Amino acid sequence: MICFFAIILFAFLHLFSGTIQISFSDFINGLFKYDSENVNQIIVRNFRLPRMMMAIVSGAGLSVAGLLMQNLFNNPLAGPNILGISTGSSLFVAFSIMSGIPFFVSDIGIIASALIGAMLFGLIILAFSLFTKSHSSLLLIGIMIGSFSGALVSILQSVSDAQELKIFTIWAMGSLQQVEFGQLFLIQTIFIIGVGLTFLLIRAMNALVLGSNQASLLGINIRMVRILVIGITSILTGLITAFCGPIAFVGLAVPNLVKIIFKTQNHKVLILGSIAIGAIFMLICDIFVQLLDKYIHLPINAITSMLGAPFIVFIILKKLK
Amino acid sequence: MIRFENVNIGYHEALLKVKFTELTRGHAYALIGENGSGKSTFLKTISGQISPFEGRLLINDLDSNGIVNKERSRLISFVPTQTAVISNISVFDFVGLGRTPYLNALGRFSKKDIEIIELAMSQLNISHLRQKMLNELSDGERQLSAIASAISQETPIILLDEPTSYLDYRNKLLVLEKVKDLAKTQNKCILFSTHDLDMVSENLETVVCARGKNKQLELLLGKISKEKLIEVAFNFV
Repeated sequence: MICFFAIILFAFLHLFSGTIQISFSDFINGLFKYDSENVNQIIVRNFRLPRMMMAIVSGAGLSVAGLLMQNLFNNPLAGPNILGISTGSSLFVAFSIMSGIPFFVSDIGIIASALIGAMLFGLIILAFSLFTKSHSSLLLIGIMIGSFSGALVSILQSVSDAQELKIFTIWAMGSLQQVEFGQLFLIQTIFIIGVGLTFLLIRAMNALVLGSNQASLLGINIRMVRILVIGITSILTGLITAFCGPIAFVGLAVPNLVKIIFKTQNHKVLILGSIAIGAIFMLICDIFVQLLDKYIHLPINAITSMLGAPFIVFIILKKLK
Repeated sequence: MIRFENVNIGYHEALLKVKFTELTRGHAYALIGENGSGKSTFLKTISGQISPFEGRLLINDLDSNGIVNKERSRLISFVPTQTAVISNISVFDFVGLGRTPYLNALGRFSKKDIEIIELAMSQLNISHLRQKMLNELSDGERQLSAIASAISQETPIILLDEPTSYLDYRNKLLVLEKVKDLAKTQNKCILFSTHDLDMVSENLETVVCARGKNKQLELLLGKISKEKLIEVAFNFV
């Protein structure tokens, strides 16, 4: 409960942090009585609000995806990137940027190719999951697919010119500012479906804590769970990578943090916790980005790790005492 | 309850031939035999983790191969030798995982579930550990929790792989008594593997013996002396 108040609080803080001061009434008007002549309202509608929503969607979505992966593979080092889904995205984005065709280099083109890449690689790993019985082999296959496409990305980078390289590098640094107001509805719908589906997996995820063998003896259909988990992760990771670039760290760190804070393996609590802490974490990180924007423009990917890593080490050390 | 029709167990080759036809309700069976004689393979075969190499295995008159996970989880519970040391889970929640087959997708306990979990914990004298974290327990306490979890699963068949291996003398007796009591009073069919031949010889009249060298699984009935058990189990005769 407290967590959800905190989300709202930080969401508001986030909306009002930025280089341009905007009054409260402009916010209300920007949403309900939109006046396209008013610069402040344009900023609210086209920049602040989408950015705030994307911080919540990406933080919560990646954290939930990470939680699912860690649970399925019984490995705290797993994250939404582990199966090569976001590298798949990167590969397709690299292809489309290097292709030099104007449509593919445009924002929409990049988003589309990132989505296609994520979905395609999600399907590939899903196909493999039908044939492999053991989770650790599946994990290995995922990592192999990831490094293979990572290598392809490097090759593409090395043969591309400076301008293309710059576009790709900036995309790969991650950004919450690429989304427009009109796209929000679609993004949120997909996000809510993806996260909503995870609640149907609570029973299975709780049992999976015992390992897939014991879970199967407790009546869990492991194959079904696996398909759902990979499917949901691909959708969430693909969506977020497409619109924000490959955001690292959050999906790996937040679920672990949530387990430390809530001290439970009840996945109802863990899912809700991941949504809340993930969203708050991204909001805080992006508030920092905005506050520092006057002096230097930092990519979100740098901030998440710079703020998050010391914090998590601190929590772990504190817990050891 | 568990019927064997010309069953040979084993992974890739016939390991042991089952020489009896049925394990019935109302009995606790000890499963003895040397290391590597196939005790765990036998338990895994019954619990459906591997198929019989040959022949037909019938659980409650259903062919074991045709039973889906969901049905099986309400017929058979299985306690592995070693319980994984899981962090961030309380004993209550751990024992409660035994209720998984009866929960809906959201995994919420009903009042009845909670009563059953409490009862299972009190039967094994671990109620006071309810709020403790599983990774803070001793090996023995963790083993008792795993057994409580199987009891809360409320299945007619309970399989335990060396349930007494980490227990002290008193808890060994407790588990043995509990197992015999559950089999009688609740009419269950319980099969547990063990190396504690002393306890088996004095207390049980139903012993399944895996004789690796003869490639046979035999059912021994009636009270049998320890010496005789050793002779049979270790192939001196």
